[in-house]
Amino acid sequence: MSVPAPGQKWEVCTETRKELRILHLEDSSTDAELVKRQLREAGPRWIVRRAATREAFVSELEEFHPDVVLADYSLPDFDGLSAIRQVRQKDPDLPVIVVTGVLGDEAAVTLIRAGANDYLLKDRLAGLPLAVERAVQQAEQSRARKRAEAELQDLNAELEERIATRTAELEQLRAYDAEVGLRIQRSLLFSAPPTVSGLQIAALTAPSQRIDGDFYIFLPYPDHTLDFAVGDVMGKGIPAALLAAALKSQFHKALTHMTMVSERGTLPDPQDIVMLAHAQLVRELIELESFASLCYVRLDLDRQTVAMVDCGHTGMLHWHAAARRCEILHGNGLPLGIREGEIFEPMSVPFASGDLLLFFSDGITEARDKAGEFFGAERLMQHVQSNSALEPGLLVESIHQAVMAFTNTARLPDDLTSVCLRIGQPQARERDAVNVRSDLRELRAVREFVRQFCAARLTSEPTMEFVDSLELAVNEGASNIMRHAYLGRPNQWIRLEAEAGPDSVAVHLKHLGRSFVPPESPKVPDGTWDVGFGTYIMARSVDQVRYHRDDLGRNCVSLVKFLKSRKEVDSNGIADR
Amino acid sequence: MELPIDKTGDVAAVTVPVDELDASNAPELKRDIVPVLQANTKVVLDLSRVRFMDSSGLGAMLSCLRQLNARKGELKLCGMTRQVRSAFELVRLHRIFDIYADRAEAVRALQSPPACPS
Repeated sequence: MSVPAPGQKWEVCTETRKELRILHLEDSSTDAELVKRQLREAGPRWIVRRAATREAFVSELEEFHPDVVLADYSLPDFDGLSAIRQVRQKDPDLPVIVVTGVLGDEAAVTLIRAGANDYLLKDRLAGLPLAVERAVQQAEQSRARKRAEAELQDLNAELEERIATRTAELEQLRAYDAEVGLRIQRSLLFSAPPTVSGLQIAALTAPSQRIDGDFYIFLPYPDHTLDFAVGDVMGKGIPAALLAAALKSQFHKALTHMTMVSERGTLPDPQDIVMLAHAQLVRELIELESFASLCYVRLDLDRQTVAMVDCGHTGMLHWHAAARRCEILHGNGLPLGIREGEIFEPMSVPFASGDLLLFFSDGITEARDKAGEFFGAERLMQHVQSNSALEPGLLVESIHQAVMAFTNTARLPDDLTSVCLRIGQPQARERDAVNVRSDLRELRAVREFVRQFCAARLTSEPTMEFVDSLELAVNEGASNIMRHAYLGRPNQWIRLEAEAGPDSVAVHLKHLGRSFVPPESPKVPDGTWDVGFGTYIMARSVDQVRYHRDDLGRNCVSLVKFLKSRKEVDSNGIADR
Repeated sequence: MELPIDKTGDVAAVTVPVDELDASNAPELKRDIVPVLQANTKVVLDLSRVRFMDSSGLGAMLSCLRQLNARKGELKLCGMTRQVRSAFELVRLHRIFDIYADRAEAVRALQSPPACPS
């Protein structure tokens, strides 16, 4: 017969049941014989080994691998209690039955507490076989239960681990979603405001935890007219962002179509653009159970009027420079995607030089403080009123800060989007443009263009220094584009657009090469390096250097120089205007 | 690029033979002047023909200066037009170069024991 390893289960089979191994701790050979006989009478299923001393008991416990231990209550050098402890140390489930001469109740309780499974008096040994069977069965059950528990614990641990892994994966996905959403938002939903003479434009978006569907579009026309739209698609996350992107492209499409079919030289009406875009989108929006609020605006700088189609958006905040007062104008249109065939009515108001126009998402007015109070339109108007002297860029920044201070939280529930326009002095601009190849040998033509433009198009004659430094800056810009944006390929194109106002000249260098981002603040050359002056020279030679993408997606380096330099060239010399 | 060299004793005066030194021709100058810088330790660069110089041109000037300095040589610039002078001043290179109004003065400065640049 083979002995199973400790902890291994005995095969209990009704046909050929294996012998049970019994270790008997007993100093009296007579008593031992009595026990043996009792068991033998019950059947041949027992292998009994006797240990008479402590040493023998301990060693048999190790070597004999008993299924049951029978222990006399008191031996000269050992007792039943110590035997139980010895057994329990080795195996908590190995049954121990105390077989003894006399035993008081108190002693019996002590034995059971110490871990004895049962006890029998020596004068009642008839019950021994049954007691042994029962103890073995209980031990087996206990072992099985423990195994099941252990398995369950393992399963639980595995499950917990899987949950943790999955949670981490989901977390990662969510982070990825947010990242993608943010990228969609940055690249598709917003774009840098265009340069429009006679207008200062700034836009700011502070994205919330999960992006919203805030978006804006700028559509500048050549003739002192700017269309733009700000909107907000219901919902959050990537679906809202995608829908906003779709909406935006629908407006482009509608505008292109309307321009194509409109009479040469006239712009399509804002109302018609909105209605066409809406007609193309409304069913999808209804089907998706979404909608979008939007404000479509056309600024006519020559006629000094703003036409607005307000589709359930927040309207337009108008600060009148002359009267020094604020008002918010609303249309009464429904949001886009509510009703098919909706007619959107335009409204038109005049504006004057110095006026501010502010468009904003409801994330601003509906930002709440700790007490649940809204930031509100009134507070926004007060803020604009008292900060009306700020340039648009600083004004939108200050609005953002005011809202953050008001809510007193780092986590915005909604995107904060604001677009601010300040109407400048009406000014006639002189314009000229030329295309040059991206060949370094064309730099001469670039410089010639600048010199000729300055000579022919400026009403007041510029100083030689003015022309020299503008020429140098434009040369550096073009050279950078040829070498870095087009990586030296000479057969690409750079478009140079120059415009002159009464007090400044701007030259825009547009290209389709790589957008290179120059270092934030060019190092002052100290003679230890001889390349990379270009960026530094540009910053020192003109009043503004701006890297951006124009409305057609071309990379653009815009250089502006004021005829009366507003910038004293100091030791840093970097224009930040 | 053909570089006219005028030797006065051990001083080599080189005329920069273009009216505009920019990214299109500065690398050429930089390359073609190397033999001159290796053959001479006292060099004058005459810029009187150059009406315009951009950052690449300035880079070529710096490259010449550095090569000569490495060989314990000396470089003087002369004949700067107004616009070129402005470009040097814009990036403060006028503090690094010895600049003389005309060639004769620059050559003299190299012949005699070093004098203070104008």
